Amino acid sequence: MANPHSWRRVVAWALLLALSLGALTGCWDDKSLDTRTLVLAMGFYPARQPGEVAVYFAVPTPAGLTSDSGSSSSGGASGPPLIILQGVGHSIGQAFSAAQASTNRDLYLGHTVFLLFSTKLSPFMLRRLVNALDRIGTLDKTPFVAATSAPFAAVLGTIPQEHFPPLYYEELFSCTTCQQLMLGVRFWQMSDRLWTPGVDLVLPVLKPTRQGPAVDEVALYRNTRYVATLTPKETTAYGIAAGRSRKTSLFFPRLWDANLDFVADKARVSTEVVHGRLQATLAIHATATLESIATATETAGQVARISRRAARLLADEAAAFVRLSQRDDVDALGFGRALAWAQPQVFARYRHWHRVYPHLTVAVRASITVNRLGDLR
Amino acid sequence: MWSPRARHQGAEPQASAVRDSDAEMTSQAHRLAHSLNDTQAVLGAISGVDAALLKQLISQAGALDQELEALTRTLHPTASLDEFPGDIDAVYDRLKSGVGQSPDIIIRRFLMGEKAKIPALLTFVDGLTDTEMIDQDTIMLAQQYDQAFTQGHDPQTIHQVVHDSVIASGHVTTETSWSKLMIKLMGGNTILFLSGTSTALVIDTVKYRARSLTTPTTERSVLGPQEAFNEVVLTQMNLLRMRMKTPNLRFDSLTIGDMSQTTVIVAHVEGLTNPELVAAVKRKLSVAKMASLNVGQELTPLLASRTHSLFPQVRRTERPDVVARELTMGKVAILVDNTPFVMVVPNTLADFYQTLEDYTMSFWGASLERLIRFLGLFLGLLLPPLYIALTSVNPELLPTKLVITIAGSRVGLPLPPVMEVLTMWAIIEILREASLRLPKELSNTLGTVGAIVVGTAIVKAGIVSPLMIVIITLTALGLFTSPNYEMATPWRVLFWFLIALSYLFGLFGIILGLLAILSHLASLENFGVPYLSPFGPYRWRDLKDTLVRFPESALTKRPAYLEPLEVRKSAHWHVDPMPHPQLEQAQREQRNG
Repeated sequence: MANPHSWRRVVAWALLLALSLGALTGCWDDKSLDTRTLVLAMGFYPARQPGEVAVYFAVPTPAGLTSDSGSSSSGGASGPPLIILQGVGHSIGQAFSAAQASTNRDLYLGHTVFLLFSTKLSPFMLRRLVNALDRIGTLDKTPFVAATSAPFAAVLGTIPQEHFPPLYYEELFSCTTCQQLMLGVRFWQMSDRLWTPGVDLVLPVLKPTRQGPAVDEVALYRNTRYVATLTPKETTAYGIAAGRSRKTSLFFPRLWDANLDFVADKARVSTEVVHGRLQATLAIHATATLESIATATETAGQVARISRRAARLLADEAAAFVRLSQRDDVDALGFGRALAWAQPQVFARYRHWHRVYPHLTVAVRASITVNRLGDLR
Repeated sequence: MWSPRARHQGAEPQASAVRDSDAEMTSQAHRLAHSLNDTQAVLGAISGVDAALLKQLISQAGALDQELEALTRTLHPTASLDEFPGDIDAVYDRLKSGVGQSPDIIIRRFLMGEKAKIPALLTFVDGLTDTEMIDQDTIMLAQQYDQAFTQGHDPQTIHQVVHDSVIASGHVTTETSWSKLMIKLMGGNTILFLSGTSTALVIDTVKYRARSLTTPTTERSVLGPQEAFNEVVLTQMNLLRMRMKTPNLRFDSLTIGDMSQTTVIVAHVEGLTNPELVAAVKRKLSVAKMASLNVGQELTPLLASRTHSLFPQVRRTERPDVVARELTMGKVAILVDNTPFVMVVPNTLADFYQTLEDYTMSFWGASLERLIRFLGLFLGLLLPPLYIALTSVNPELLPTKLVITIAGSRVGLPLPPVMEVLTMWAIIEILREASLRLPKELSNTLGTVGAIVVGTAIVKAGIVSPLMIVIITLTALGLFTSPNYEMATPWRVLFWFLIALSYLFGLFGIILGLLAILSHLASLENFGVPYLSPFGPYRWRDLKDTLVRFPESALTKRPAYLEPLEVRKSAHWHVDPMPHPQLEQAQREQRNG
């Protein structure tokens, strides 16, 4: 016969387990995928009324979902694959509620892959938006972020090759005109730059064109204030200075028509106090491949000359960007953050880093390693 | 006690007295007539009696009377009822009134020796015995034999002579106990009683109607042997002996079941298997008290340490090669008469995922197959719960494109994911059960038709999504990747458990469920061997033959958890390449031109 005490213990444990499981409220309030509307992208624009924000939600329709998965169980619904819902309010919550009213299913932010911020958003509104988005539990913090001055629908409408345009930005933030520079910024990186002193926000700018979205410019922000949009050439310089350059080509017509192909470059920023003065260093190192040369076979001396020339060119480009950022007072490379990491007490003395940064002495050094592809004879 | 013989012996003087005295006879006749009148009056008073019932009652009373008479005749002042008294008439009466009433029991009386003519009786069960052996090797020889009986009629001498010189059967024993004789008789032996001797001869004339050896149906093998056990325990032993010719292979016999008297054999290799293990198995089996042991599976509760556990702790196999291999590893096999599946103990979880097929191919192929088995298990067990958890509770954990695909496949479906899974799994279980019960030809058709028709129709009807068909198909296949059929059952039950947890608590529930299963597995042990061995406790030596199979050269020792007396199984496989002298000479000459 079983020991009654052991049975009591088993029952007690079972009850405790049941109560513990019942207390897991995070599980009970979840809803099935069937009862949700997936929000694939969100756009944030200033509303007509001051102090309000217009939030756009790009959601797939049942017809779009069915045609995408090839399922026939819906009976062949027709219509656009994606619709855009709009909500206006003083906060994201209000805008969300307004947009929710236009659909009978829960708007679900767990699969939002793209966030678009208008460059016309006020600094105050941008701060509130990022703060609020940071606090939404269901929102994934890894979607790509971009700035634009174009309407939300126009940006999404320029990606013809995707059934659902927001998915274009799901994995690799790239486009036909921007593959040389890794300009993609994820939401957590944006949030990190906004709340970290000593570094400013840089967002890629999306421009709708007939060939698709063009991402060859970046928008500079001082804290949460939009400052300027760089030209494509300045953006390339930013890419080199920030170590985001990929597949960039350098051509040297005076050096045997040598053509160098960047594989990648790395940039290291350091700031320190030397003899009572702030000194910053930007060290760039690149790896390149000698793609072609007029002599067909290069010598070690030729490679050395090409390397020196390429390094000087990279340093000049990076220095130009540093001067530009100092002019606009946007610490895009994070010299202040480097100081805060290395000497936090010193950095704490500079309450307003933006007053210091334009006058910072920055030394730019560049080096390049040229890999030879081998003899072509 | 009332005795017909006593009555008969005492009636003669009484009759002569009656003849002497008419008055006394008249008074007795009067008493008898009076008694008859009383009986008639009593019978007349009884009304509504069923004549057939009365007839049956009288018949049964007659049989009982006959049996009582036989018993009484066998009674001897110094002998017990269980002993054979040496009186052929008494034996005949006792047999005829007892087991002999059954039509399959043959009782044959004859006279032994052409001149001596000693009364003898022979009995056997028709159908279980080799009648040729009885006719030619026993009765004929006994009737014709004459030499010994001319020398005298000492019963013991006759008995010895019959045992040594007359009976031509290979296996003859003697027995005095009536109860043991009856059991041997029912087992197919022929019992020979000789007048005047207190012991009977038990002649082994057993000839079972055995099913021929067939190919294994539950554990198929491509490259391995194609032989399975049948129901006869003797054949099972023979099949093992064929594979293990060592004299150390021991078959210890037990009899279980008061009525069935089923033979149970405990097989082990002496000098290799841990004696404590053998003793423990025998001890556990010896406490079996049951009226009838029909199938060996009835013994599994005795052999399992946790009888209510879902997981099998006793491995049953119909393959003699598997049993032989397990015996050489140091395990104990239990053979049960009338059961074509032999039980092997002790076992670990990994044992149920090993087959002999693994040792018929290269270790690469064997390792791949084992990994696929475990992959199948995890897919089968976790795919539907994961589907439910990721579509109902934690959709944020899926990649966006997959979510869109799933959401697209679910557009317009009336059932939530959990009901979708339950519907499909119910259909699969019904199909499976129906295919098991139907004849083989029909079951194949049913399985195919069911899978195609139901699968296609249910998607077309918009009840489940096409993705669900893929998931359930993988589940149904995955749960049966275990080479051991009975290992599929616990996972099929736990599948429902995980479905419920995933629906209620999502991924957290699945993790919780898996932890609970793991805890239970870790708590199991069989004959002191942890069920999760060699993973817990960790034993590197035994790990070489679990998830993957190392090359034979690495598997030179027996499993440590069995604690065998002889640890080393084989020598290290260091083969020195020896060039062929003639071939090398020819090649050298060819090179030199």
